[in-house]
Amino acid sequence: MDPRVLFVKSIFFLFVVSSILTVTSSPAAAVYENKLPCDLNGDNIITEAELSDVICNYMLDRGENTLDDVGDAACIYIQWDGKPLTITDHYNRNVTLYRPVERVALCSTPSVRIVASLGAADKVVGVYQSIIDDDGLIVTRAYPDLRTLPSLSSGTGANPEAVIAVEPDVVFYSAASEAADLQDSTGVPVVALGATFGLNFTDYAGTYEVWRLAGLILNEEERAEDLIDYASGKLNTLTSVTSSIPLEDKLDAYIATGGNNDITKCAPEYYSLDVAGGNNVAAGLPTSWGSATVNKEQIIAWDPDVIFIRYYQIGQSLTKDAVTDDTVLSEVSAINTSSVHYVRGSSNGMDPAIEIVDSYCMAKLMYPDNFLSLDVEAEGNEIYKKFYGVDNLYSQMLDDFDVFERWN
Amino acid sequence: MKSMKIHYRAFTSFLLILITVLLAVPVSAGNSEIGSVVRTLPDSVYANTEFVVTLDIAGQGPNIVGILETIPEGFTFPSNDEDITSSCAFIVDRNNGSIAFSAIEVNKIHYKLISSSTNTIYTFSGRWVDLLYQDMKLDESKERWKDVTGDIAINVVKESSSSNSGSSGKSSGSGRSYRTLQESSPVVEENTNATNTNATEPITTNGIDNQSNEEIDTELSLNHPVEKTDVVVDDLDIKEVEPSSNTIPGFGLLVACLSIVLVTLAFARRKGD
Repeated sequence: MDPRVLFVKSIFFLFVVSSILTVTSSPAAAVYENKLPCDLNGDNIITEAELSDVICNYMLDRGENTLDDVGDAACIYIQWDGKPLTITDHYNRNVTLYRPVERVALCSTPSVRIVASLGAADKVVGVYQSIIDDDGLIVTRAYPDLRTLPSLSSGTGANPEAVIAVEPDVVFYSAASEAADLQDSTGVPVVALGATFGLNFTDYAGTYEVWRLAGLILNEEERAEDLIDYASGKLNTLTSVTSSIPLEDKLDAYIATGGNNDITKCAPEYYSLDVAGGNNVAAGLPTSWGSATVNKEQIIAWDPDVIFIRYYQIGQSLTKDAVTDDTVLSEVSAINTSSVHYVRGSSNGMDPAIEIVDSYCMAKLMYPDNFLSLDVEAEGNEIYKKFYGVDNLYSQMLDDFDVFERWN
Repeated sequence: MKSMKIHYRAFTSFLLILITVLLAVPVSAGNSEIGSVVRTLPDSVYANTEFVVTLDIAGQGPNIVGILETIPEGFTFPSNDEDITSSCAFIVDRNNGSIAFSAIEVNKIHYKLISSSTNTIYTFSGRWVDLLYQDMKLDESKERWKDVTGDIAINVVKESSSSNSGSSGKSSGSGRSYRTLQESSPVVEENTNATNTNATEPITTNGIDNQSNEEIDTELSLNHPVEKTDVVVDDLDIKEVEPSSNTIPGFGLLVACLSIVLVTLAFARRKGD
C-alpha cells in the first residue's frame, strides 16, 4: 500500500477515535442553571427596574446578557410575575423552573400527546424511543417530524446524557421515582405528569389537570382551558343522551385490551365505555397498568351483550375472527348476535382524542336508534383536528387500519 | 495518486457533513405580538430648538420591546435626563447619539431632542426587538432585530424672528406638556446587592466608575421609574449543578484535527505531484 495512503488512513482512524473519546468524555452540553436570567442582585426576582436596565444595556451592546437571556427575563417578568415558577407535579413533587420553556424533552409517550394537543409540538427537542417506534400514534401522524428528533431513551428508561445533550428547559415524564432520579442526574427540571392522561378526564391527575399543569409550564394556559371546555362539551353531549337510557336497557360490555394479547385480557376501567352508556362487566377487578386477566369461563359467566376489541396496532393478533371462531365462547350473547366490534383505543398510554371519538363510536354501535344522525367519521375528524390540528386525520386512520365500522 | 485523491475527497466530504451536523440548530417560529415600531417626526424644526419624537408600538397583548434610536449628528438630548422622556425607562448614550428604551407595557414613547444648529435635512435610524418572542434557538444574535419604520428625515430650518415655538410641522413638540420623572430606580451594581439610588449618576456596571456630575452628560445614564424590590427566598432543595459553557462537545478538537489532517493532505499531495 502507498505509504501516503496508509498515513492518511492512520490520521483518519486517530481522528475518529479521538472524536468519539472527546464526545463521550466531555460534558454533553450546557447545564441548567438554578437561577433567574438577568437577576442582577440575585434575589430571585426580576423587577421592572432590573429588566429595564438589562434591556437598555442589551440594546446598547453593553453587558454580557444575550438576547435569549433578556427575552427569557422579559417572559418571566410577564408570565411568572418576575419569579421562578414552582409547581407541584402529579406525584406531589415540587419542581422549580428558572427559564420560560422554549425547549421540551419528552421522556414518556403520553407526554407527546399532552404537548402536541396544547399546540407546543414545535418546542419539542427530543422524544422517548417509543414515540419514534410506534407507528400507530395519531399524534405523530399529525406531527411526523417528532419521530425524527433525538431519542432520549436508554433501555427501558430515560438516558440522562441524551437529555442533557438536547438542552431542554423542562422534561416531561410519567413516573415519579424515575422523574426524581432523572432530575438529580441531569439538573434539568423534570415534571411528572399524570399517567392517567386520557384514561380519565376529571379525576386527580386526569386529563384536565394534566392539561392545566402542562399548559401553565408551556405558557399555553388558554389553550388548556379551551381543550377542557371542548372535551367536556363533547363528553357532556354524549352523556346527555346515554344517561337517559334506562338502566335495564344498558348493554353489558366486555372490553378486550387488544393488540397481541389474548381475549382474556380486559380493561376493568374504561372511560369511553362509561360515557357511551355501556355496563363494563369487568368493572371493579384489580388492575395492573389498567388491565386485568380473566379466564374464558368468566367471560361466559358475564355473558356480555357486546364485546369491544381495541385495535391499535395494524396486524395485531387479537381479531374479531379469533374471538367469533373461539368454540369455547360460542355461547356468549355478543358472539351469537354478531356484536363483536373493534374500537381504536391507543397504544403506549391513552389518547384523549381517541377516547372521546371511541365513546361516540361505542355509543352508536350499542344504541344505534339513539344515535341515528350521529356521523362518527365527521365527529372523529373534527375532534382529531381540534386536538392535533390536521384535517381528515380520523378518515386517514380508518383508511390505514381498514377494520373499523364505517357508516355511510 | 488517484487513490489518494479519492481518499482526500471522501474524507473532506465526511468532515463537512460532520461539521454541518454538529453546527445544526433547530429553529421554530415563535408567537410575536409586536408588528411594528413607527417613528413620527416633525416635517421641520428650527435650529437649536427642542422638539418631540414619537414612537408608536403596534401590537396586541402584553408587550416588552427594546428600542435603540440613533439621532442625527449635531442633534442633542436635553441636558437633564429627566427632561428627555417620561414614557418609559431608558439609557441615553450621549457620546454616540443614541438612546435605548425599555418599553414595558408601553404603546407610545415621546422623547425630546434639540435640533442641530445647521440648516439641512437629517436622518434618524432605529431598531427594535420584541422581547416576548420565544423560540427554541439557543444562540440568538440580532437577526430578529427590526428597523423602526415611519419618518426618518427631518428638515432643520432657520428660526423665524416672529416665532419662538421651536418647531413646526405635523408633530411639533410645542405646547406639549411633559412629566418629569419624580424618582429613579436603583442602579444595580454588578456583583453586589447594593444599589445606587441616584439615577443621574453613570452606570457603574461593566467597569465604568462613578464620575463627577460634570461628566454625566458624556456617559451613559439610566432613568426609569422606581420599582420596589421584594426579596424572595426559594425554599426548594433543587440540586445545584455546576454550570458549564454552552459549547458543542469536542468541537475544538474536531477543528484542530481537521486543520492538521488537511495540512497533512495538502503536503502529501504536493509531494505526490
